Amino acid sequence: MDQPMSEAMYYIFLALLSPGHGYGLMQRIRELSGGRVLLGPGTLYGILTRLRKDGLIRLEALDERRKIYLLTDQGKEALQAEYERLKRMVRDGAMLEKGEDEA
Amino acid sequence: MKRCYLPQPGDHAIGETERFYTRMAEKGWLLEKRGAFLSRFRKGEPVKALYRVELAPRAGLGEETGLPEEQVALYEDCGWEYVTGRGLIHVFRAPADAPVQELYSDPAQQAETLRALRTNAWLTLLQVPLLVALYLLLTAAASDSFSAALMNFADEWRMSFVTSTGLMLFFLCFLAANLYFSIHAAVSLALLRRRLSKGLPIDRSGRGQKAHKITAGALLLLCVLSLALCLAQVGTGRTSPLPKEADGPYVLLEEAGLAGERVPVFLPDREGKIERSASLLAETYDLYQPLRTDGGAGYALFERVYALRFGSGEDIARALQGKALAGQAGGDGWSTAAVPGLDRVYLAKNGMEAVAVKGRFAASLTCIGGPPDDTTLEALLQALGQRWG
Repeated sequence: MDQPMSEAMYYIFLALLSPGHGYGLMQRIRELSGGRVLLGPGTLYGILTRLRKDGLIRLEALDERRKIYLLTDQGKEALQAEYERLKRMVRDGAMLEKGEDEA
Repeated sequence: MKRCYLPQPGDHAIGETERFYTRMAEKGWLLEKRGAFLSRFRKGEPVKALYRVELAPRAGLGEETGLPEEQVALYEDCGWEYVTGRGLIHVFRAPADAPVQELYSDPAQQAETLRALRTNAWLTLLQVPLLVALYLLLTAAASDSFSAALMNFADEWRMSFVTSTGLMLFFLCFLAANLYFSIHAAVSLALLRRRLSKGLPIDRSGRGQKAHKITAGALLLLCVLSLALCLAQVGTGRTSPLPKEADGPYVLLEEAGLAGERVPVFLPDREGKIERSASLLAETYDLYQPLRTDGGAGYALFERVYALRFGSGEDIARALQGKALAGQAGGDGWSTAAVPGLDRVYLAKNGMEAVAVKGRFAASLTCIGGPPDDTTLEALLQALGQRWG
């Protein structure tokens, strides 16, 4: 992935470290974000479709009408890269805390 | 069970559609089925419900357009009930007080779903111009040049307007309405996409539609009025046997000095008759007269006279030539001639056809039969000149 992930996509990646289907993912994301990130089913479905097309997730199993997805190796790499980017950003912004202490 | 059908907002009007179904439910009419232009509602208890439209992706060749099962299952898991769908438009419902999540938490993601609808809107918009262009290309291929094809096209339209004003007005109103609705749909979708891409949700307030409603209403009213005019014009058509003497701005073979019996010649069982019709722009006389002379010669006269209410007969002279046999054989089959009493006469080189013009009158005559040195056509033209005064 060349572009930074959106917040929704980042949490979908995190949620898909273990297999999950649409509704389950929505609940998992809500828990992971402490109720802060609430994905609409249309938004989630659109992102899942795109990620599957890009080879970042794959179909793990079928449960009646529901499809269970999992991150691919490429997806895991993308998530790791995004995590490193976010860490760097937080580190670079650490001066803000220092500034506040000095103030 | 009580049911009703109502016209629904267009496919492009997503916010308006959701609002329409929500308001109907508040009145106790619950959406049951969505058709091409009408929605079917079932009478029930008034309920406060949320209706949301989801768009299906464009189907591939041989595939049926619809939402994937997985998507419907996900929405149902989230509390949205699938109600009905047709083509690209699919409708979900949820009780207004239920803790359901909006389908799209990110409007920009929803903007992506408009793609198939936008393609449809552009295809509809381009339909008419493409058909006209195709028609012109095909006629140009059959004509000497593109300009000749354009002239033929203009002539055809002019003649159609003269003879079938009501029908042509209806056709034009229908085209104008079609074009307006297509442009409105394409522009609305472009604006909706921009709105969603900016992160703003769909507008379901129903505001800002006044100008569109007035324009659409006016166009539909024009369509209805022109259709009424068209039907009224159909009622003016009258076919009758040929009178003994001309009772209108046309001539009969007897006026060319021929005497005989009006019995079928050349075309068995085809009796003489005259058809009269009137449009807003002209009165038309279309007659066929067979004649067996006392000497045994057979004649057949095909005559079409236009008494225009506006403009000059010269305006349709070229179109009349184009409709004649000589005109269909090629553009070089005509020469002009001077006939007393007429402004202009075009004679076909086949010797059988003529187009005559005087003031607001124009006529095409085809006279078949008689001896080879026959001057019947010329005599008919002179009689026509006198008739038109």
